[in-house]
Amino acid sequence: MNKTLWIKREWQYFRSSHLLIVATIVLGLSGVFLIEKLKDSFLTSLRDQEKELLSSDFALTARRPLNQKEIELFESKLDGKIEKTYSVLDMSSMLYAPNQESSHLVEVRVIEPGFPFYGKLENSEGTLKLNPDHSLFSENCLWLHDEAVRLLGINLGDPLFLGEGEFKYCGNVTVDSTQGFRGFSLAARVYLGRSNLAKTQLVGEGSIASHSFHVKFNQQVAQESIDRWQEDLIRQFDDPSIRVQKPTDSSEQVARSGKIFGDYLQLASLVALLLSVVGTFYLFRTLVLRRHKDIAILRSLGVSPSESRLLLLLPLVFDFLISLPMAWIFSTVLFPIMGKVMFQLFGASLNDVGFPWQIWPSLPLIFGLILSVLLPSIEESLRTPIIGLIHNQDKMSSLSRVQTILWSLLSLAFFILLSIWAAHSWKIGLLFVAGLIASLILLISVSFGASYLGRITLKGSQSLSKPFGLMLGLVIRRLIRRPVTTVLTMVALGLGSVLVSFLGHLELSLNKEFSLTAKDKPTLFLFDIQDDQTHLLTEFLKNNNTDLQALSPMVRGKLISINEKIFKQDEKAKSFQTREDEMNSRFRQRMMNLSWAEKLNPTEKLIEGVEFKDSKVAADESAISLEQRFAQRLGISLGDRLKFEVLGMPVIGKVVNIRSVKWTSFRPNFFIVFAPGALEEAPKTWLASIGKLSASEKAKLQNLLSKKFPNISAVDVEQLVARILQLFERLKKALELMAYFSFAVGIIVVAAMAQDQVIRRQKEVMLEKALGLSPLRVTLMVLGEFLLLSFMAFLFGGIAGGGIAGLVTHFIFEGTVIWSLKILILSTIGGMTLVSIPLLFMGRRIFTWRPAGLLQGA
Amino acid sequence: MSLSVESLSKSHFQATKKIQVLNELNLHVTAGESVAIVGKSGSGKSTLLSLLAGLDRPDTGEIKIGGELLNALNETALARMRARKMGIIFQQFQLVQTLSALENVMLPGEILGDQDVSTQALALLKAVGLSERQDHFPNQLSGGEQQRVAIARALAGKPEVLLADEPTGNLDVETGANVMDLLFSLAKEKGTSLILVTHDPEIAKRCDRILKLEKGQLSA
Repeated sequence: MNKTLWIKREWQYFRSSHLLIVATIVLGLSGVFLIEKLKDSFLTSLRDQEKELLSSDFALTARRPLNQKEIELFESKLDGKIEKTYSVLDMSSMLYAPNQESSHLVEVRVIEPGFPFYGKLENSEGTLKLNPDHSLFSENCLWLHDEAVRLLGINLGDPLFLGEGEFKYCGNVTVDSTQGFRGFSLAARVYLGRSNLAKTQLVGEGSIASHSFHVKFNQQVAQESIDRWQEDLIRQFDDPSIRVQKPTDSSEQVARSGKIFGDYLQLASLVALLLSVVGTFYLFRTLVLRRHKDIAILRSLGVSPSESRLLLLLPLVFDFLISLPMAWIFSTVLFPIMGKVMFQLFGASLNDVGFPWQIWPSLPLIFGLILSVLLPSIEESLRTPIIGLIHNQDKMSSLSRVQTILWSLLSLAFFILLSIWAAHSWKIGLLFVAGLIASLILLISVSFGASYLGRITLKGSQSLSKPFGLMLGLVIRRLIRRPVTTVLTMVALGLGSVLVSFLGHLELSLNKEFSLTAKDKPTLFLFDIQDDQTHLLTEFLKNNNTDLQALSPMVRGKLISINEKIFKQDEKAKSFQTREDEMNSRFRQRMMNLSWAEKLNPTEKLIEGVEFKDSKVAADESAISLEQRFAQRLGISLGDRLKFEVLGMPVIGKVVNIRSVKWTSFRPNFFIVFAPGALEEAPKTWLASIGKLSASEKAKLQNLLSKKFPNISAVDVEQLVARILQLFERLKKALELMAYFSFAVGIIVVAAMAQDQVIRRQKEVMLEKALGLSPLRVTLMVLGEFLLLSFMAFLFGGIAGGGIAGLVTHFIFEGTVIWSLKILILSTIGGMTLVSIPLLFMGRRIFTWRPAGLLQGA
Repeated sequence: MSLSVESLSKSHFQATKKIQVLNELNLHVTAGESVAIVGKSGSGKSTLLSLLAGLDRPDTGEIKIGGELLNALNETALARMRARKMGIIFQQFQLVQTLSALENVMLPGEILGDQDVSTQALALLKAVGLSERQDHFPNQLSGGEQQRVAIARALAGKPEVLLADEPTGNLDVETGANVMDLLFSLAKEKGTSLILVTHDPEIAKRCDRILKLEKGQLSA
């Protein structure tokens, strides 16, 4: 049989069905393409400016001052290719404006003339030329990012205090190409000339700063050479506190947050894809039912089952293949709109890119998912005895239970793989699938539960009109007696609602979690407190009617070994990493912040093991408590022996307990806490918090603090929280956009299903009219059926979304679960309104159908 | 007079060509009378039936059922009229798939808002010999059984006129004969007029009158 002709004929006779299938697949694929295109575009624009982000060709960075030997080793490696160099130092500090009596935590970037080798700093007067005679180096000047100017409320020439030094506000920076992604840094940036650093006295023993040494090459250097130098240097330094950075690393760092965010968006797009698969399943099944008899005839004429299978399958493969370019075109049309929204939200510039080739691995998975969902319908058709097919075209044999389970598992496997691909995290991918399955179970249970209740209520009823009235009685009978359609419609509408409600509830819970009204939440978080300042600071605060809380020491240490096995930092990033790999790798590269305490603080909870006082350790070791996720990532368990190096001295400890930490308490908390006795003699700084203060008390205290203790940084927790929530709000808006897209896809899928239902129900509608039901009542009954289903789907989808948000809040954020009736009501009403639009068009059609078609030949 | 038709005309277009299906057709059926309408395929038998049932609108002419003029009624009133005065039996049975046999028979009475619909429907199902299959759905019944349910349903609203469109067209000879026995005896028992469109001369012969539809006109 000529397969091309078969596909052509199939399209000729079932054009509307195939068009609907193609439209549904296009919608589902478009979401996936669009998000991949956005991610690709974002990463491309970052790559375009990767040298600008690093500001140089190559750099050596450490969380401590670099010594001469290290710099010499670095320079010698570069084989005479250095044209120029400069040093950069980054740290956090308080900046105080005496005229305005305001102070803020800022990110201080200390630079030398010539900065940046690549990229630019700009303000309204143009690009800044940072020559040695620039005011940053020749005068007592600070140049501030616009945001810092706004926060402090200062004017040009106003005095500013940074650490112990007094400066002048000499100019602003509006564009800074060395800063990547607006919104992801928590403090505004301030520029300080290297020659003025000493005045501030901010860099001292134990203070946290990032020191980097940058070079510009005097010639073009091949990327392979740079990669090789980086690998060699990492090996030669063999020090986890040192990083050797090339421009691509720099863009990768900035891109990490963007990528994670993109992964979440991609997951939301998978909901749209899933909905389109549901729609395709429904439409394809209907088509198989309609082709059923023709296939039976062909089989009776000698076509083999495998050829029959192919004949049913080929048009679908064709539909999928033509959907691909159409989805690509559709997502390209949507891209500028989405790009604009993203720019508004994050300021990330997006270039249009070509086809995101990295999407290819997902396409076989998507096709596999579609096939695994649709093939059972073909199998059911082929299992049906030929004679039965010819006589009874509306009935197909069911698959056995084992076959049904196997097909379902195959579909699930494809979807899990797709989710892991989208999330770049097996954990989040699985959580996402679990959430969806839970929602599906709820929606399906509600469908069956309502059907069961309906059957119970109708059982023994002596009238179609009792107890619901004739119209509702007929609608309910239709719903409970067509369970497949009912469940599919519920799922298609409900899943979109799950997403919308999930995001709404999550936002509520996070707002509550970060709420600072609770008495135990601090107002200020202090760090960089020097050892000799703790008493003075306590005294100072007492005099100002407040006290220092949760004073905690912090010691920098290097993890040397776990159970005598040398702890190696990850040297090379793998080409494809899940987020778990990436996080593990990041943990393995860090110098660690260590602390000590007698017992767990009130925001910590013992998960495993015993408190320090009940622990037994050898004389040469100390008891250690580890935060649970940290322990998990490094694969450390109870009883393991960890060896640290603190300023050249070995410190050995045994893990006696694993604890959880409520990070949103904003108290000083650490991944690694020692029992008292092991770290006291090491050089350390202190962290602390200050309890509830009024706005005016806080402002006054901040100003006094920055004058009296200029090296101590005070984070305004309220502002930090506002910043986090603002960031979350932006992420949420972008995710919401995707959720609404899924919601819209759900509605379009339902509209397609409704359209098909209406066509299939044409005879029934005409019959009801022929039997004496008025056109209005018949129309209202069909519309009522979909509205009733929509109502249940949106309501229970909303409940499921709230439930998942509750689980995520409880288990991932360890926060308080909040339920909102308002979200439920709004999402239900909003959804019903949207569903009504296609229904109204449908209603018009139903209303005008004349029942004459029921008669033969009429 | 149970049904009267005066100067009924109906045409439709086949591509651009106008086909005059019914041309100034007249028909008068008295209460309790049975009339068979025969004719070649495409002669307009089903078109006539659809106009008599108010399922379609004529171009010109008048149709009166029980003295009530159909032409003057809007769609809602027509639907009401069908429920009150007519019973229709289709070749393809046309049962509501989501309703059981009993519920299908109850439906006309429910539409009219009658009392005790269930008892009457059960009695009708019993009359067509299907009282034991009252809870079965159409897809669980054979063709003959479905048509018997359809007859019971057509009689459920106590119609003045029964309109039947090839009621045995989808049934084997024996089942068809049984169904027709049932239809004639029930129509007679209830005093209902019957207008029957059929190709089968044997079935037509059982009616009081046979009318042939040719060139848009009825002739004896």
